[in-house]
Amino acid sequence: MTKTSDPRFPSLGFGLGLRADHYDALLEPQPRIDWLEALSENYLVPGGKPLDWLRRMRERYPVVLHGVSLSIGSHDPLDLDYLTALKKLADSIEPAWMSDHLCWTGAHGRNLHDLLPLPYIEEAIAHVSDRVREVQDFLGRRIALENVSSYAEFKASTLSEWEFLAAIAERADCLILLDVNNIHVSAHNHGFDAREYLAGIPPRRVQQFHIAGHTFQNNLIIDTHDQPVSDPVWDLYADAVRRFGAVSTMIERDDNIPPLSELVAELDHARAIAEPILRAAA
Amino acid sequence: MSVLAPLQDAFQRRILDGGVDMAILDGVVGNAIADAGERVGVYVYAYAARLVEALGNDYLTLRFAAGDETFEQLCRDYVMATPSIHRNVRWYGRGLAEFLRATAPWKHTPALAELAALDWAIGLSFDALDEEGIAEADIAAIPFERWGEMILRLPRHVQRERFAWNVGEVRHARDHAQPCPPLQRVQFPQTWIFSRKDLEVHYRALESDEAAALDAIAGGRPFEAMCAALCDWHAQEDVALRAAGLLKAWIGNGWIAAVASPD
Repeated sequence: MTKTSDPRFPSLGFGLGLRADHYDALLEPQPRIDWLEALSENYLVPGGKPLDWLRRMRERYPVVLHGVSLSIGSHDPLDLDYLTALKKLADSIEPAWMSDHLCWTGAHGRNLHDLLPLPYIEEAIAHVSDRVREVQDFLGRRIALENVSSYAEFKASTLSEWEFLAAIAERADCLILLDVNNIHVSAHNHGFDAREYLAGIPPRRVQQFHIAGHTFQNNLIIDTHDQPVSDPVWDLYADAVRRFGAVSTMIERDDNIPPLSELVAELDHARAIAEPILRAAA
Repeated sequence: MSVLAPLQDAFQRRILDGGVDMAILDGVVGNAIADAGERVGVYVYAYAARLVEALGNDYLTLRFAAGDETFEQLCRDYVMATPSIHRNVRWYGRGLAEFLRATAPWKHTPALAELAALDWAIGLSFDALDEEGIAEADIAAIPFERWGEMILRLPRHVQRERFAWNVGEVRHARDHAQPCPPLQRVQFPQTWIFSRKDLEVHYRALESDEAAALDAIAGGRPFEAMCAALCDWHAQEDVALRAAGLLKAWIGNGWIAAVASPD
């Protein structure tokens, strides 16, 4: 990839995660949903109904592909079979952009199907940056990496999470999918300042926001995506819009999924927060 | 010296052994909110919970028949015995039927493995490669005297399983929101076929002669071998008519993806 002054793709506005519960409703006119984010792995299948639905959605909406299995931080080699399948899907769907997570998901050929934390160290920056460049070259697309919620930090870390994320984005020349809920969750769990996190992220790298709900479990907050967005996350989202401007925003809901109308109302709330801030800044 | 690899190895060991290996805890920050064990414990718990949930999505009939509690226990046994080697969790349950067939106490209820095989067959048919079936005209284009040599290929959405238990009846009850019937052996084992038409999966039991004929086709044998298989059920003079009837029905169902003509 060649470096450019603003590496970001154009903003798509306000979108939702594509979930099977909403397939039928999404084929009705939905003027308040600007775009959809599809979980790549749900469509990395040979054929049948899932791919048919995705193609039909793509005819109506811009679609972004969001993966959970790239395992960009693992010390295992990159999985070329996975990347080949992902590229085939992308070439077929032509997503507005693609993303995955700044994490690892397994080693020694095992997959733990979770977004596991990395130590914030130079070795990991170099390792991940090299691999992001390989992936981008393979896919022929610049990708976005998402900050994950975490419940464990490592004593070996020498940097803050935001320093780690920013360094990888610059060195790999990739984009950032900034999950505002994940910042809130990790700030609580590890005792850092979420606003300091936002201040440490370079605006020209931020391609997308995620916002979502979470759950308290004992003293930790767990990123469950099964609740409406909480007030502290809305407040942090407003601060993110002030810092990063008009960034594509998407609400994630993976469990306890309500009717589409409820999520559209939540999306309207995001609009109501963002638009006055953007107007004032214009 | 690498920090990353040993740290990931230790983290993974603790997740896969259900929270026994202690090595990773020395490397994790604990504080007043939660100690290192609780923090890593979130990941240990989530690992099994996520895989059990994925199996629950794939094994609807097995869950319906076993009940939630038994289903969760057999899934947890599978998870502990079977680390995932798949990037896509869609394929994680591939070995469940074999696991249930071979592992106590589940192997003592053989219907469980058959229920799992039924669910997996439905899943394979559901998202198999899209393949256009051939038309009758494709067969008609082959000279009749060469039919015996032609090789037919089944599409990937056509799956077959042989059941000695009433698992098809159980699936029917689940699909129609009826109570689960008692699990019992059927009088004669039957082959069931699962296939996709207009994106929907359909399934039914095959007659014995049709199952044998399909076995011949699935084995890559020529049409004449299929006719020979039908001789076990039909008089010689009736075989051609039955074979032609089956072929016509299969083409109508979209069960034939390709025909290799002798030339």
